[in-house]
Amino acid sequence: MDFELDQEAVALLAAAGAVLDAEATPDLIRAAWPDGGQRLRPAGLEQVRKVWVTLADQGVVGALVGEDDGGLGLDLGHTVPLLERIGYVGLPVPAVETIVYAAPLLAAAGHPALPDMLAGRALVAVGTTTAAGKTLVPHGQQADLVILPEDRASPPEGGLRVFAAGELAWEPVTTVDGARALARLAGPPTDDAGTVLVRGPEAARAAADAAWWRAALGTSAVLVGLAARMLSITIAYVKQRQQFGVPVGSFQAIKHALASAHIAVEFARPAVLAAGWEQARFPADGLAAGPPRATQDAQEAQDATSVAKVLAADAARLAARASIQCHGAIAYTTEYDLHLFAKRAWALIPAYGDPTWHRAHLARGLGLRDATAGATAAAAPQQRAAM
Amino acid sequence: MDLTWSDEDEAFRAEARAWLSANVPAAPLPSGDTREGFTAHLEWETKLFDARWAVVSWPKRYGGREASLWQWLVFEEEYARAGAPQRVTQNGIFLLAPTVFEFGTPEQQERILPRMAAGLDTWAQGWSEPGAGSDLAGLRSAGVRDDERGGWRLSGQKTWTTRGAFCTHLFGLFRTTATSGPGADPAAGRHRGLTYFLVPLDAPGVTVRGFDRLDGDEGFAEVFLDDVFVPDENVLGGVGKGWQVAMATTGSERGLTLRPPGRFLATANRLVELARSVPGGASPALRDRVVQAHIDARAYQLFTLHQVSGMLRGRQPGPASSMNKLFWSEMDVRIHETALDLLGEGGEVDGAWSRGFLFSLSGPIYAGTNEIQRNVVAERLLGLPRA
Repeated sequence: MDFELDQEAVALLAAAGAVLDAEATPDLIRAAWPDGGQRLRPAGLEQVRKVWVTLADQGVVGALVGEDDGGLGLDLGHTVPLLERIGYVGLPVPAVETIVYAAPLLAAAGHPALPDMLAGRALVAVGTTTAAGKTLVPHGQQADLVILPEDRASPPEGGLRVFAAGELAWEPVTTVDGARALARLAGPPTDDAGTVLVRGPEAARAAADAAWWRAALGTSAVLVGLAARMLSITIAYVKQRQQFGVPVGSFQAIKHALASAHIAVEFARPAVLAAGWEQARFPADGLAAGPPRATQDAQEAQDATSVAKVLAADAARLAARASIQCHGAIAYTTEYDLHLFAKRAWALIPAYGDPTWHRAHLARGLGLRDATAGATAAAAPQQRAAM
Repeated sequence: MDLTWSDEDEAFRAEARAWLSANVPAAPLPSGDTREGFTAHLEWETKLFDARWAVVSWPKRYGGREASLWQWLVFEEEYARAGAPQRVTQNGIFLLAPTVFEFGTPEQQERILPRMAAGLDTWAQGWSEPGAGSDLAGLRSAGVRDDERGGWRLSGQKTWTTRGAFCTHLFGLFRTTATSGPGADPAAGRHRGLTYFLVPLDAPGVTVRGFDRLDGDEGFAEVFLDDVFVPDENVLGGVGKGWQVAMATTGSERGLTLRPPGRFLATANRLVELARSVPGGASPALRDRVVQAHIDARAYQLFTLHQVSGMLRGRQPGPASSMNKLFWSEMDVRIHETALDLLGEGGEVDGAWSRGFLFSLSGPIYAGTNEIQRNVVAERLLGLPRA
C-alpha cells in the first residue's frame, strides 16, 4: 500500500506545470471567448494553440501513447495530477478529449493524424448526445478532428470513426462558458466521411466504452483542479476584502463555508488518484496493448471512477457556490476572473456521466433495486441517458 | 503508487479475520455504556489482550504486535467488518496512550501502558467542565502545590466524562498557575498555566456521579474533585505544559487513531444490506442516499490511506486531522439518518440503527465541536485571519 505519486506522474506534472504557470493565464481563457458578436476570435484561438504546442513539446499530448508511436508510454494514473493542473489554470482546449479519450485510439489505429496530434497541431473533440437527442461537440469549433459517440453511417457499420472537422456539417452554439467553443451537428455525416478507428460493432463499443471511462476519470481530475482554483481565488479575496473594519475572512460564516468546500475538494482528490490507478491497473479492452482482464477488475475500476466523478462534481459545484457567495457582488461580474472557472466547472459536472448517472451505476453494482423499475437495476441495459 | 496490500499485510488480515470469526460473541453484548455492559466488555477486552489483539501497534512487551500503521488499519477494518464489540478501553488506548508514548517518562510508560492494554486500568477523559467546553482553555479546576508530600492537590469539577462512572482512572487538565488574583502570573496566559494529570478515581476526595446520555445509557459522569492529592509521578509532560500535551491527544482523537475508516465502510455496507432487504426496493431518492453513503465511506478510506502514506514519509497531518473529524462525524449522521428513513415507522424501535443514530449525533460535538473544527480548517489550513 502506497499512495505516493509515481515519479512519472511527478515528472509529467513538472514538465507541463512550468508551461501552464507561465502561459495559461486567465487572459488566455478570455482569448478563447467569443467577441460581442458571439464569434470566436481567430487570433485568440491561435494564442491558445501556441500554448498547446508548447505543452505538446513536453510530451503531454502523447502521455498515454506508447513510446514506439512517439508518446511517453505512461498510464492513465500518471496523467491525473497533470489534468488537475490543466483544470486549475482553466486551459481552454479539449485536453481530456485529446490526451485521454482520443490519443490511445488514434495510436492503436495507426491513424495518419497521430504525429500532428502529438505535436500539438491537431485538437480532437468528442461528440455527445443530449437527452433531447442532439449531438453536441464541446470544443467542436476549435477542433481539427471529431469523434462522434456512435456510428452515424447509414446503414450503420458498427464502427468507431474519426472525422476531419471539415467533413461535418455543424453550427456554432452559444454557451455559458464561452471558451467551450461548442458546436452542434447539423446533419449526419456522409457515408464516405471519416476514417475507421475500430472495426466491428462489439470492438467499437468496447473501445468507445473504455475511452468514455478514461474521459470520465480525466474530467474528474479537471473538476478537482477547477474547484481548487476557485477556492484559492476566494481565499485570497476574503483575506484582503475589508468590511466592518476587518477582513471578511475573519467571520465564521465565511470560514465555515470555505472550510466545507475545501474538505469536499480534499476528499475528492485521493479518490480521483485511486480511480486513475485502478483504471491503469486494469486497462480496458479498448486499448490494443491491454492484456485480457477479469470482468470483476474492470467493474472495480469503473466503480472507482464513478466514486471519483461524483465526489469531484459535487466538490466543484460546492466550491463554485461558496466562492461566488463569499465574494459577494464582485463575483457576479464577468470582469472578475472567478466566473471563467465556475462556468467551466458547471459545463463539466454533467460531462461523461453526471453524479446521478454515476450513483445509479454504483447502485447496480451494489445490487440495489430501483423501486420504480420493479426489478434489480443490475438487469437494466447499460445506458448513458445522462450524456 | 500501489493500492494493494502486501502479502505480509494480507497474511496479517487473514490471521485477524480467522481469530475474530472464531471469537466475536455471536449475540451482541449489552451496551458498554451501562454498568453491566461495561463488565461484559471488559471480559472481551481480556480475551483480546490474551490473544494479543488489544493493542496491535504497540511494542510486544506491552502486549502488542508492533504492527505497522497499515496493519493497524487492516485490523480495524476486520474488527469493524466482524461486528466486534465497541472498545470500552478506547479513551485510554487511543487517546491517552499516544500521549504517554510521546510525553511519558520510561517509569510512567511501564506503570501505565501494560495495565491499560490488559484492561486492568480503564481511563476516562477529564477535559470538559461546566464552564469550559469548546473553550477548553477556560477551564477552572485547579491544582495547588503540596511540597511536603511531593505532589498536587486538585479541586474542581469535570463533566461529560464518558464512562466515568465505570472507569478506574481519569486523565485531565488542571490549572496550576493562576491567571488572576493574588500570586497570579498573568503572563502565563490561559493556555500556559495548565498541567496534565493522571488521577486514580478511587483517590480520597473524588466523587463520581454517572448520568444518562441522550441514548439513555449512563455513559456520562460528572467528576468532583475536592482537595485530591496526586503525586508528582502522575504529572504527564511537565508542569505548565498541559496544553501542548493535551493538544497532542486531541489530535489523536480527531484524526486517525479514534476513527479508522474500516468502521464506516462496515456501517455503509450494513446500510446497503438494509436497503437491499427493503421489500420492493428503496425509492430512487433513498437509493441515491445509500449509494452516497458508500461513496463517502470510500472517500474517507482513500483520504486516510493517502494521509497514512504521507505520515510514513514524515508528513504529519497536524491540523488536517480536523478534516477527518468533520468528514467522518457528519458522514456517520447521514448514514444513520438514511437507515432510519429506510426503516420508516419501524425506525423508532430500539435497535442497532436507532442506537447508532443517537450515538452518531455525539460525533459532531465531542473532540471539539465541528464549528470549532471548521475554524481550525479555515485558520490553520486556509490561512484565514482570526476574529
